[in-house]
Amino acid sequence: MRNSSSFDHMLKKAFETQDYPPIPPALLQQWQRNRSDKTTNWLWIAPGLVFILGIVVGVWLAPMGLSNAFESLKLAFVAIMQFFPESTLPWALALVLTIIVLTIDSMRSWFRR
Amino acid sequence: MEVNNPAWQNDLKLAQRALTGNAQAFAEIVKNHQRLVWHMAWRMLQQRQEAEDCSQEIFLRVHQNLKQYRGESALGTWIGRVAFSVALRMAQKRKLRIDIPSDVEPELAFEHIGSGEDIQSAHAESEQLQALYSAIEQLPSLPRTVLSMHYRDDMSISDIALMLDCPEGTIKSHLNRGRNRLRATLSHLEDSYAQL
Repeated sequence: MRNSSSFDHMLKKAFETQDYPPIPPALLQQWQRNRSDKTTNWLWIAPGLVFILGIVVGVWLAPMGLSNAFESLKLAFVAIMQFFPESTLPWALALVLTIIVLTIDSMRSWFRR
Repeated sequence: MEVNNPAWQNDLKLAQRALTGNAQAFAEIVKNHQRLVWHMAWRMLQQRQEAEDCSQEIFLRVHQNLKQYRGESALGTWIGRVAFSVALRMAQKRKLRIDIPSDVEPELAFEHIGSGEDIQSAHAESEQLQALYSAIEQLPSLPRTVLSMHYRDDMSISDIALMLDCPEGTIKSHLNRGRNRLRATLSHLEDSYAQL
Protein backbone atom coordinates (compact mmCIF):
# COMPACT_ATOMS: atom_id res chain seq x y z
CA MET A 1 0.00 0.00 0.00
CA ARG A 2 1.23 3.46 -0.85
CA ASN A 3 1.65 5.42 2.35
CA SER A 4 1.30 9.17 2.75
CA SER A 5 5.01 9.91 2.99
CA SER A 6 5.90 7.90 -0.11
CA PHE A 7 3.14 9.68 -2.01
CA ASP A 8 4.40 13.04 -0.76
CA HIS A 9 7.90 12.03 -1.81
CA MET A 10 6.65 11.14 -5.30
CA LEU A 11 4.67 14.38 -5.49
CA LYS A 12 7.70 16.44 -4.47
CA LYS A 13 9.81 14.70 -7.08
CA ALA A 14 7.16 15.33 -9.75
CA PHE A 15 6.94 19.05 -8.95
CA GLU A 16 10.70 19.46 -8.67
CA THR A 17 11.45 17.73 -11.96
CA GLN A 18 8.56 19.28 -13.85
CA ASP A 19 9.74 21.33 -16.82
CA TYR A 20 9.10 25.05 -16.67
CA PRO A 21 9.68 27.22 -19.72
CA PRO A 22 12.69 29.52 -19.27
CA ILE A 23 12.08 33.07 -18.11
CA PRO A 24 11.57 35.19 -21.24
CA PRO A 25 14.55 37.58 -21.59
CA ALA A 26 12.12 40.30 -22.76
CA LEU A 27 10.78 40.52 -19.21
CA LEU A 28 13.93 42.19 -17.90
CA GLN A 29 14.94 43.83 -21.18
CA GLN A 30 11.67 45.73 -21.24
CA TRP A 31 12.58 47.54 -18.03
CA GLN A 32 16.23 48.00 -18.93
CA ARG A 33 15.15 49.50 -22.25
CA ASN A 34 12.89 51.92 -20.41
CA ARG A 35 15.98 53.30 -18.73
CA SER A 36 17.59 54.19 -22.06
CA ASP A 37 14.25 55.57 -23.30
CA LYS A 38 14.36 58.03 -20.40
CA THR A 39 17.85 59.10 -21.40
CA THR A 40 16.59 59.60 -24.92
CA ASN A 41 14.13 62.21 -23.59
CA TRP A 42 17.05 64.22 -22.36
CA LEU A 43 18.85 63.82 -25.69
CA TRP A 44 15.77 65.16 -27.46
CA ILE A 45 15.30 68.12 -25.16
CA ALA A 46 18.94 69.20 -24.92
CA PRO A 47 19.24 70.36 -28.57
CA GLY A 48 15.92 72.20 -28.12
CA LEU A 49 17.30 74.10 -25.15
CA VAL A 50 20.47 74.97 -27.06
CA PHE A 51 18.34 76.19 -29.97
CA ILE A 52 16.20 78.43 -27.74
CA LEU A 53 19.30 79.77 -26.02
CA GLY A 54 20.82 80.42 -29.44
CA ILE A 55 17.79 82.43 -30.58
CA VAL A 56 17.70 84.52 -27.39
CA VAL A 57 21.41 85.25 -27.47
CA GLY A 58 21.31 85.67 -31.25
CA VAL A 59 18.47 88.22 -31.13
CA TRP A 60 20.31 90.16 -28.47
CA LEU A 61 23.79 89.89 -30.01
CA ALA A 62 23.18 89.75 -33.77
CA PRO A 63 22.35 93.44 -34.27
CA MET A 64 25.63 94.37 -32.61
CA GLY A 65 27.82 92.62 -35.14
CA LEU A 66 30.30 89.87 -34.25
CA SER A 67 33.14 91.90 -32.72
CA ASN A 68 30.73 94.13 -30.77
CA ALA A 69 28.94 91.02 -29.53
CA PHE A 70 32.19 89.54 -28.22
CA GLU A 71 33.10 92.88 -26.66
CA SER A 72 29.70 93.03 -24.99
CA LEU A 73 30.06 89.49 -23.63
CA LYS A 74 33.53 90.34 -22.33
CA LEU A 75 32.19 93.43 -20.58
CA ALA A 76 29.38 91.39 -19.01
CA PHE A 77 31.88 88.81 -17.81
CA VAL A 78 34.21 91.49 -16.41
CA ALA A 79 31.24 93.14 -14.65
CA ILE A 80 30.39 89.85 -12.97
CA MET A 81 34.01 89.19 -12.02
CA GLN A 82 34.24 92.61 -10.35
CA PHE A 83 32.01 91.32 -7.60
CA PHE A 84 34.71 88.85 -6.60
CA PRO A 85 38.07 89.90 -5.11
CA GLU A 86 41.04 88.48 -7.05
CA SER A 87 41.99 86.10 -4.20
CA THR A 88 38.57 84.43 -4.22
CA LEU A 89 38.34 84.17 -8.02
CA PRO A 90 39.32 80.43 -8.25
CA TRP A 91 36.77 79.61 -5.53
CA ALA A 92 34.12 81.60 -7.35
CA LEU A 93 34.88 79.72 -10.59
CA ALA A 94 34.76 76.40 -8.72
CA LEU A 95 31.40 77.42 -7.22
CA VAL A 96 30.01 78.37 -10.63
CA LEU A 97 31.21 75.06 -12.12
CA THR A 98 29.64 73.11 -9.22
CA ILE A 99 26.33 74.93 -9.68
CA ILE A 100 26.40 74.14 -13.42
CA VAL A 101 27.13 70.45 -12.79
CA LEU A 102 24.42 70.18 -10.10
CA THR A 103 21.91 71.96 -12.34
CA ILE A 104 22.59 69.58 -15.23
CA ASP A 105 22.41 66.59 -12.89
CA SER A 106 19.12 67.65 -11.31
CA MET A 107 17.69 68.37 -14.77
CA ARG A 108 18.66 64.84 -15.84
CA SER A 109 16.94 63.38 -12.76
CA TRP A 110 13.89 65.47 -13.44
CA PHE A 111 13.65 64.28 -17.04
CA ARG A 112 14.14 60.64 -15.96
CA ARG A 113 10.94 60.72 -13.87
CA MET B 1 6.36 52.58 10.58
CA GLU B 2 9.69 51.19 11.76
CA VAL B 3 11.05 48.23 9.81
CA ASN B 4 13.02 45.84 12.00
CA ASN B 5 13.91 43.05 9.61
CA PRO B 6 17.24 43.96 7.90
CA ALA B 7 16.29 42.18 4.66
CA TRP B 8 13.02 44.09 4.52
CA GLN B 9 14.90 47.33 5.23
CA ASN B 10 17.05 46.67 2.16
CA ASP B 11 13.92 45.87 0.16
CA LEU B 12 12.35 49.13 1.31
CA LYS B 13 15.48 51.12 0.40
CA LEU B 14 15.53 49.55 -3.06
CA ALA B 15 11.84 50.32 -3.53
CA GLN B 16 12.38 53.91 -2.41
CA ARG B 17 15.26 54.30 -4.89
CA ALA B 18 12.99 53.00 -7.62
CA LEU B 19 10.29 55.45 -6.51
CA THR B 20 12.64 58.43 -6.98
CA GLY B 21 12.72 57.52 -10.66
CA ASN B 22 15.88 55.43 -10.55
CA ALA B 23 15.19 53.05 -13.44
CA GLN B 24 18.22 50.94 -12.55
CA ALA B 25 16.73 50.23 -9.12
CA PHE B 26 13.48 49.06 -10.67
CA ALA B 27 15.38 46.89 -13.17
CA GLU B 28 17.09 45.33 -10.14
CA ILE B 29 13.70 44.58 -8.58
CA VAL B 30 12.60 42.94 -11.84
CA LYS B 31 15.83 40.94 -12.00
CA ASN B 32 15.47 39.74 -8.39
CA HIS B 33 11.84 38.71 -8.68
CA GLN B 34 11.33 37.73 -12.33
CA ARG B 35 11.51 34.02 -11.48
CA LEU B 36 8.78 34.34 -8.84
CA VAL B 37 6.55 36.34 -11.20
CA TRP B 38 7.16 34.07 -14.20
CA HIS B 39 6.44 30.93 -12.19
CA MET B 40 3.26 32.40 -10.73
CA ALA B 41 2.04 33.42 -14.21
CA TRP B 42 2.99 30.05 -15.70
CA ARG B 43 1.38 28.01 -12.92
CA MET B 44 -1.85 29.95 -13.15
CA LEU B 45 -2.14 30.17 -16.94
CA GLN B 46 -0.10 27.26 -18.39
CA GLN B 47 0.18 29.05 -21.71
CA ARG B 48 3.46 30.67 -22.72
CA GLN B 49 2.29 33.84 -24.47
CA GLU B 50 -0.39 34.53 -21.88
CA ALA B 51 2.08 33.93 -19.07
CA GLU B 52 4.48 36.40 -20.71
CA ASP B 53 1.77 39.06 -21.10
CA CYS B 54 0.71 38.40 -17.53
CA SER B 55 4.29 38.80 -16.22
CA GLN B 56 4.66 42.14 -18.00
CA GLU B 57 1.32 43.27 -16.58
CA ILE B 58 2.43 42.20 -13.09
CA PHE B 59 5.62 44.29 -13.23
CA LEU B 60 3.65 47.22 -14.61
CA ARG B 61 1.30 46.97 -11.63
CA VAL B 62 4.26 46.66 -9.26
CA HIS B 63 5.75 49.81 -10.83
CA GLN B 64 2.50 51.74 -10.50
CA ASN B 65 1.81 50.68 -6.92
CA LEU B 66 5.30 50.48 -5.46
CA LYS B 67 4.58 53.41 -3.12
CA GLN B 68 2.14 51.12 -1.31
CA TYR B 69 5.00 48.86 -0.24
CA ARG B 70 6.04 49.96 3.26
CA GLY B 71 8.47 47.23 4.24
CA GLU B 72 5.88 45.38 6.32
CA SER B 73 6.89 42.11 4.63
CA ALA B 74 9.56 40.95 2.21
CA LEU B 75 9.32 42.69 -1.15
CA GLY B 76 9.04 39.21 -2.71
CA THR B 77 5.89 38.50 -0.68
CA TRP B 78 4.36 41.81 -1.71
CA ILE B 79 5.22 41.25 -5.37
CA GLY B 80 3.91 37.67 -5.10
CA ARG B 81 0.59 39.04 -3.85
CA VAL B 82 0.37 41.46 -6.77
CA ALA B 83 1.38 38.63 -9.14
CA PHE B 84 -1.30 36.32 -7.80
CA SER B 85 -4.08 38.91 -8.04
CA VAL B 86 -3.14 39.83 -11.63
CA ALA B 87 -2.74 36.17 -12.70
CA LEU B 88 -6.01 35.16 -11.02
CA ARG B 89 -7.91 37.94 -12.78
CA MET B 90 -6.35 36.95 -16.10
CA ALA B 91 -7.23 33.28 -15.53
CA GLN B 92 -10.83 34.27 -14.70
CA LYS B 93 -10.99 36.43 -17.83
CA ARG B 94 -9.76 33.50 -19.94
CA LYS B 95 -12.43 31.34 -18.25
CA LEU B 96 -9.83 28.82 -17.09
CA ARG B 97 -10.75 26.35 -14.38
CA ILE B 98 -9.66 28.02 -11.17
CA ASP B 99 -10.58 25.49 -8.50
CA ILE B 100 -11.79 21.93 -8.00
CA PRO B 101 -15.56 22.04 -7.36
CA SER B 102 -16.17 20.54 -3.93
CA ASP B 103 -19.11 18.43 -5.17
CA VAL B 104 -16.93 16.45 -7.60
CA GLU B 105 -14.03 16.10 -5.24
CA PRO B 106 -13.00 12.44 -5.20
CA GLU B 107 -13.78 10.72 -1.92
CA LEU B 108 -10.47 9.10 -1.27
CA ALA B 109 -9.84 7.53 2.05
CA PHE B 110 -6.18 6.64 2.18
CA GLU B 111 -6.83 2.93 2.74
CA HIS B 112 -8.67 2.66 -0.57
CA ILE B 113 -5.86 3.96 -2.67
CA GLY B 114 -3.76 1.70 -4.76
CA SER B 115 -3.88 -1.99 -5.36
CA GLY B 116 -2.14 -3.00 -2.18
CA GLU B 117 1.16 -3.45 -3.97
CA ASP B 118 3.87 -0.86 -4.31
CA ILE B 119 5.45 -0.70 -7.70
CA GLN B 120 9.12 -0.31 -6.99
CA SER B 121 10.81 -0.55 -10.33
CA ALA B 122 12.43 2.49 -11.95
CA HIS B 123 10.26 1.98 -15.00
CA ALA B 124 7.11 2.11 -12.91
CA GLU B 125 8.30 5.22 -11.13
CA SER B 126 9.00 6.91 -14.40
CA GLU B 127 5.50 6.05 -15.61
CA GLN B 128 4.04 7.36 -12.39
CA LEU B 129 5.96 10.60 -12.82
CA GLN B 130 4.70 10.98 -16.40
CA ALA B 131 1.15 10.39 -15.17
CA LEU B 132 1.66 12.95 -12.43
CA TYR B 133 3.05 15.57 -14.87
CA SER B 134 -0.02 15.29 -17.02
CA ALA B 135 -2.33 15.25 -13.97
CA ILE B 136 -0.61 18.39 -12.61
CA GLU B 137 -1.15 20.13 -15.96
CA GLN B 138 -4.82 19.23 -15.83
CA LEU B 139 -5.33 20.54 -12.31
CA PRO B 140 -7.27 23.80 -12.00
CA SER B 141 -5.08 26.90 -11.58
CA LEU B 142 -5.39 27.39 -7.82
CA PRO B 143 -4.55 23.92 -6.48
CA ARG B 144 -1.78 23.58 -9.09
CA THR B 145 -0.25 26.89 -7.97
CA VAL B 146 -0.58 26.10 -4.26
CA LEU B 147 0.85 22.57 -4.62
CA SER B 148 3.71 23.83 -6.74
CA MET B 149 4.61 26.59 -4.26
CA HIS B 150 4.54 24.02 -1.46
CA TYR B 151 6.39 21.13 -3.10
CA ARG B 152 8.67 22.86 -5.60
CA ASP B 153 9.48 26.10 -3.75
CA ASP B 154 9.31 24.54 -0.27
CA MET B 155 7.05 27.33 0.94
CA SER B 156 5.20 26.88 4.22
CA ILE B 157 1.41 27.07 4.37
CA SER B 158 1.58 30.37 6.26
CA ASP B 159 3.90 31.90 3.63
CA ILE B 160 1.61 30.78 0.82
CA ALA B 161 -1.37 32.21 2.70
CA LEU B 162 0.45 35.51 3.07
CA MET B 163 1.32 35.66 -0.62
CA LEU B 164 -2.11 34.60 -1.86
CA ASP B 165 -3.76 36.84 0.72
CA CYS B 166 -6.14 34.19 2.05
CA PRO B 167 -6.54 32.20 5.31
CA GLU B 168 -4.26 29.24 6.03
CA GLY B 169 -7.32 26.97 6.15
CA THR B 170 -8.08 27.81 2.52
CA ILE B 171 -4.52 26.92 1.52
CA LYS B 172 -4.75 23.62 3.41
CA SER B 173 -8.01 22.87 1.63
CA HIS B 174 -6.45 23.59 -1.81
CA LEU B 175 -3.50 21.38 -0.89
CA ASN B 176 -5.70 18.48 0.22
CA ARG B 177 -8.04 18.64 -2.72
CA GLY B 178 -5.18 18.92 -5.20
CA ARG B 179 -3.33 16.07 -3.51
CA ASN B 180 -6.43 13.89 -3.56
CA ARG B 181 -6.93 14.58 -7.24
CA LEU B 182 -3.34 13.61 -8.02
CA ARG B 183 -3.51 10.61 -5.72
CA ALA B 184 -6.56 9.39 -7.64
CA THR B 185 -4.58 9.60 -10.88
CA LEU B 186 -1.81 7.53 -9.39
CA SER B 187 -4.20 4.99 -7.90
CA HIS B 188 -5.75 4.42 -11.36
CA LEU B 189 -2.29 3.75 -12.69
CA GLU B 190 -1.54 1.30 -9.90
CA ASP B 191 -4.87 -0.42 -10.46
CA SER B 192 -4.01 -0.94 -14.11
CA TYR B 193 -0.69 -2.49 -13.05
CA ALA B 194 -2.52 -4.75 -10.63
CA GLN B 195 -4.80 -6.01 -13.38
CA LEU B 196 -1.80 -7.11 -15.50
